[in-house]
Amino acid sequence: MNNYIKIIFSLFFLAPVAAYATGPFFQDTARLPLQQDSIYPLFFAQKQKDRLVSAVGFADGEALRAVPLTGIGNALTGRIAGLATTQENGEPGNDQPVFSLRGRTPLVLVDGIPRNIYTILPEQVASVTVLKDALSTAALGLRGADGVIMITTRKEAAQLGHNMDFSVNTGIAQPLQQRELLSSAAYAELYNEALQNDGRPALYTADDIAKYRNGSAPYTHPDNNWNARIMEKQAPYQRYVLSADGKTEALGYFLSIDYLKQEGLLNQNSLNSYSTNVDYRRFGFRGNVSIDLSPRTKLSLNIHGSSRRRNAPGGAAALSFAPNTGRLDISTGSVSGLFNSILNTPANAYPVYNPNGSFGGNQLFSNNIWGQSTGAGYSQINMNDGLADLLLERDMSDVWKGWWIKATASYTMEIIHNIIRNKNFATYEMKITGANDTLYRQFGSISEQNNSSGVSVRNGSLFMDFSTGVSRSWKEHHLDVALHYQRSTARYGSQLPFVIKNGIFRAEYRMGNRYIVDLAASYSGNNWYKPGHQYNLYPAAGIGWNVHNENFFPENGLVDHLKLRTTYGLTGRIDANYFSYLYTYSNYGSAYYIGTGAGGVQGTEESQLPYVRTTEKALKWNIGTDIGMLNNRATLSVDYYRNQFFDLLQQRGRNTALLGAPYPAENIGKSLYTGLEATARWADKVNALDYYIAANMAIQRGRVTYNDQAAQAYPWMETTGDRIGQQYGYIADGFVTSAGEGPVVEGYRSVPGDLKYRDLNGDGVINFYDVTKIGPDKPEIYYGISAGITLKGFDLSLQIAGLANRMMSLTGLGEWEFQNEGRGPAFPHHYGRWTPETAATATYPRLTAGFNPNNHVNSSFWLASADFLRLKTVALGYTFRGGVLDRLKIKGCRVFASGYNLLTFSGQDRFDPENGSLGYPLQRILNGGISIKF
Amino acid sequence: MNIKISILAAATFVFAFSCKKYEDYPVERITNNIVYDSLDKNATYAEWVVNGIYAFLPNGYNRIDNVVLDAATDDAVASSFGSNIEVLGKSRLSAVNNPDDKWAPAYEAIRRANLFLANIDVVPRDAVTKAYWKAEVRFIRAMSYFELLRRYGGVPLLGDKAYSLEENILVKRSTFDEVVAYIVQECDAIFPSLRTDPIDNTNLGRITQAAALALKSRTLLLAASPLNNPADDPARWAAAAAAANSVISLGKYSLAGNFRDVFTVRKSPEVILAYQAAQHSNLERQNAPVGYVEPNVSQGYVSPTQQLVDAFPMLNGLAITDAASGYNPANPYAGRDPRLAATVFYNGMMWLGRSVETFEGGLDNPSAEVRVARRTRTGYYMRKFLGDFAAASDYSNQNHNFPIFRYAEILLNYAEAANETDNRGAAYTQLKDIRKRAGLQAGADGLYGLKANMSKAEMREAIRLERRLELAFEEHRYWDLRRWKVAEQTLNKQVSGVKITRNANGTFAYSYQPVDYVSFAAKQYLYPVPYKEVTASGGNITQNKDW
Repeated sequence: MNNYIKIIFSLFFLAPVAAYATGPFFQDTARLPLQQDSIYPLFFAQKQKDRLVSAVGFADGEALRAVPLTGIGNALTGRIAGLATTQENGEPGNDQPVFSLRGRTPLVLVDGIPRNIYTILPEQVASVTVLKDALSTAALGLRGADGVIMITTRKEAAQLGHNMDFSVNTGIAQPLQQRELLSSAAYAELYNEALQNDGRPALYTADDIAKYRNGSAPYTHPDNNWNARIMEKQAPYQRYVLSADGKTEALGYFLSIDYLKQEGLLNQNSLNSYSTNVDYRRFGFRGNVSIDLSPRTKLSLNIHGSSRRRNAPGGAAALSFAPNTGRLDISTGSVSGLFNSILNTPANAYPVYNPNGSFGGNQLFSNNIWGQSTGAGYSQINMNDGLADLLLERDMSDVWKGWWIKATASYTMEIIHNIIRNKNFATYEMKITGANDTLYRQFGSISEQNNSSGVSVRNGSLFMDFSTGVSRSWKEHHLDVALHYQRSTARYGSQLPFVIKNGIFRAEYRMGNRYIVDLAASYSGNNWYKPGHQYNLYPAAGIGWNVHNENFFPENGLVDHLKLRTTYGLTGRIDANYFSYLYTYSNYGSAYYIGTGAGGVQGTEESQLPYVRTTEKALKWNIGTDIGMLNNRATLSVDYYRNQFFDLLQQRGRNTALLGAPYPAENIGKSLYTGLEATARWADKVNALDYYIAANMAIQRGRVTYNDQAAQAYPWMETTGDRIGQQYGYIADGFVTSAGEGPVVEGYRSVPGDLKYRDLNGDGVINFYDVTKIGPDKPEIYYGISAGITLKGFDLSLQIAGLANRMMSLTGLGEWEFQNEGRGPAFPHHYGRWTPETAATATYPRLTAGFNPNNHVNSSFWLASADFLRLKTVALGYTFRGGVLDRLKIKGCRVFASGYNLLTFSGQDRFDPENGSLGYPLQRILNGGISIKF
Repeated sequence: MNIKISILAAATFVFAFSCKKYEDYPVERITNNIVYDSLDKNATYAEWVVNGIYAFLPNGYNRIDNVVLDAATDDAVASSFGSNIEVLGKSRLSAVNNPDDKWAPAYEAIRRANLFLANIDVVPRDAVTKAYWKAEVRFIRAMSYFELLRRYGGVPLLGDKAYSLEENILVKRSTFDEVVAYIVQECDAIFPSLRTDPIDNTNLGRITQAAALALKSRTLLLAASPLNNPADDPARWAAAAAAANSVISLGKYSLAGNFRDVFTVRKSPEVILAYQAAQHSNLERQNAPVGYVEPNVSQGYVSPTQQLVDAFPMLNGLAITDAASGYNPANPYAGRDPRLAATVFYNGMMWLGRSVETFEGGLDNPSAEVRVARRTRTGYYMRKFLGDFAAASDYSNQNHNFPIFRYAEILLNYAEAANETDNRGAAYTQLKDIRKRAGLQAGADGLYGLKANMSKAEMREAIRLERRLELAFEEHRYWDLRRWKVAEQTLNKQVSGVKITRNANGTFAYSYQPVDYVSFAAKQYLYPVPYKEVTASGGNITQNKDW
């Protein structure tokens, strides 16, 4: 096969062939000057950088592998302009981030097919391409509008020969910041103050407080630090990966087997013969093999399987499932419940154990946290998935020059099997009655392990692509045309299959590598939509001008690469909802009770009113430039985009209850996302020192341009034009200084130290008419910096990521004092409360024992900056080569140490600014390992 | 490999996976013509639709943040601090925050009823049953309008129309009088088609003729009341009296022999319509004192006030403030109206085999170090509606069907309307009947403690007091105070509780102190229409005054 055909043909091909072919051992392409002949994998196509007119982000797998992570998602943080990640949960096996690409949540594809990101390990990844604009996603049809993160797995080696790589990683994970709670004595003092503020008698005597402080009565006056009690300071993890790739005359392959064991951070009870920790184990393999059946025919088979097991204390495992994107979220309810309990339990609530060894508890807190963590049995979620891709491609140049055909079929299945071996425990309240007579009052009941199991998810999906195309050149004119027919069928439980059919047309015309015209269109549809409304055409076009290839372009060594490019097109987003166009009724049991017997009678009611949905759509415009200077040592890419979304599903603004039924979501809304992205890089080589520094930044703004809002009573209640995710509330206006002072919430009788609010409509009271936008209206900014050096055998790299102009509302759990009818705990920041003495310096309203209808409502007072900057990764390695290793037939051996989430800078010192520290903590990972190449 | 084989292989590839295996849409869905099936003689689904509509009848009990609606009056407070009931009780109500908003559920019931009425005729069920169903559904529709009427005043009347999504719903609010007329007209129209009283066991819970009359009585009384009858039009009172009397003259209902049985017996001669439910013990667990242990843990959500307790007379019918009543402040619960013990838990009452201890530090009002979720704020808990567990050791499931209409209310409706039309004799008769059933002593004059020869105003107060006592926590006082237009006076005050100290010799000392306040602003006589409804109506739905 000649080089040209190779480029056109080999879909799913190993990404930067050039980098692999020419790069030194362990070379990271990111460290090299930008290669204009780098090949970017696109959706069922691939292109050299020079031919690209789309806005595409790219991360090389080799760089991602330097990060000590168990999944690929968090490795992408800060690497690609416009792609932001937010990690909400650190629970092993459930720790992948939420992606945001140009303000939307992108689709994740693995080798062109939507898949669960948890099944992919960094070792299997050749590259990640982020498709940002209309042209690059047009081929996806009704799944393209939110952008795409396209993961391409490694394929056969680039060069003849065989390579084997065995690597061992071992490390520890430490929790990032968790919320601190007040000690019992401090809690009791503040609680008394809060009661006094409410005009209620104090609860704790001076003697109580003294006992809390000196710990002289640990059973009646306990002082627990639950975070310390249930959490380890660190937990180990290990990873073993054996991978091999190679190529012979007729055969190419990539094989990988990996094993991961990550322990959770929960303390264990040595009395248990089983683990109640949130351990995660993963075993996976991948084999990507291609065979040249004839000089013009290639058959590829990719198989992949993974088996993941998550353990958790207690019972329930919650499952949420989005069939449209294939995204499956599994959270063990018991783990989030555990951290919820910690943030809801004051330090003095009950002793961990009573003197007789039983769990402490009482009517108020009948759920002992230590019991919840270690005494409630355990459950396991076993997630197994397997896939097989079969590809057949034939170069038909022998029939007609430049013609090719190709067929792909891929089958995936996923089974989630829960094993629940939980039990109930009882807690006891100790009561000393009279002389030496101790009574125990029981709460809850004890049960033996209740063993159950079930298959909660059983999915299968089949994907097919049949394509053909022609590539022809005449002198300096080049034309590539391709046609695809794609069909994907996914089955979820007992539902009818979710079928997407997609016809794709692509054409690219180039003139002398100077002018590029690129067209792509998809006609795609889905069977869950109403017939007649199933299909839409999604066209897109782009033009590019490689100015540096013009004759007039001066070759002065200053600017050696300059490209201008722009794309425009229509993309779609499917949110089908199961046959929502049908008018149906549903039955339900025990609607009412009629007769003297106790049995209920059944009911029948209208289901959600039908609405003929179509896809949500976006018209996207992108304009950008790529500049290379000083022998391409300095590169800069800048992109501006303007994405107009329309037909967004929402309830109509003028929905009235007079209809007597909830309004369905209709294709009504419009929003506009605009932004600017820039990526700059400097890379050079000084003698033996290779180094690079790269930075990217995205300024992003999303606005609701139309939401069908009915005319409002006051202009500040209008929400059209607001930023997406805008917070609303009262505008806080200082503290009340004398009882009865206002303006405060209507009907509320203020006392000194309460919040005052701005009375926008001037009616003397604060109510919903005074709710407006709170917080600033600036665009969000995401940025990342990466840098690296290699010197002789040493290599060092680091990655920084951050964001700015994000506000978070610090309300509710973990923030407000004594919530849940006064049962809740207090936190150190409550020391900043208003008291008559601290009136001038107070940072928090006066305390209330329970819910305060004036202070505990959304207002600008609770807004705080969530800006942060994190040193995400640092990796240091040394590679041994030659000498003894040569004699052992070892090509190289790298020892390395790396860290993840090492440092965080933010304005918040009480919690982690990324996830708010309300659940299982995010982690800092310190990792070391060795990798041997044969 | 030659070309033909390649093409063949590729084609096989595509077609092997593309044959049809599933239907085009889920055929198992229940469509309109299955629900209203022109071939189904049993009308199975259609009957289920009716069952579903029944669930829209108004329910009561601890329905707002675990407390009763009357905890927003001077009869009770929520035991929990910061309960959502305070939105209603402390004037924090707004057009976006109303815990008792019934706008959407009422129109949902109306839609369901109208859809049923529009479709049921195609179903070949026997005409008699269909006529019953239609009348029942129309009753629930009328009842829904009544629930709207007393909350919001005049509301849009939709008639038999069930709107579709495509229609722009621009209906104006009808006036108060138009809605009253509609409800009355509906009650009159369905009366002949409803089942007659008393209802058989199989159909217990279904709407009967008496229920239609009772709804009419309640509606006309609302229309005659000072809030809606500022001119004090005697014709309105006369109409209200006649409507109440029509239930009495039906002759099918009577006061149950025992006051407590009204709430726990599934089929009572007094209950005209009740919200039917399966037997349960939730009500006991929600309301009984907090000192009971597993498996009888109880939450004590409602704390009745001293004002309510003081309103109950002595056994002789005389108010405790009456010097002749025999009230002993050192033993305040002795010799009282038996309804007191059926309405509130007070210190010393028996429950689950022990005395209720609401004295300071008692099991049900424990001292601070005992960790309970809440404790009584007034020294009392709510007892009404609960089964008889005085001597039992554990809770068991009980009948708890919330009385929507019961005969005692009709008698009081009649007494009130009759008094306003200067028929005090009738008013005396009803009050005496109710007091007699309550277990009060008739006294030498046979007046059960009522003052003889009361003036109209005195009688009005007597009737209002009797309603407060007899119908406590049944969601009457909350509405009555509004209807009588006295809420501004009655609901702007401190409410108090009792502090009971146990002396060393086992006797108790009682002192009284304010525990909370209730407040009421004049604009609250009507609820605000939900803000969203006003803005969505394009000016057709006007907001109530001052909201």
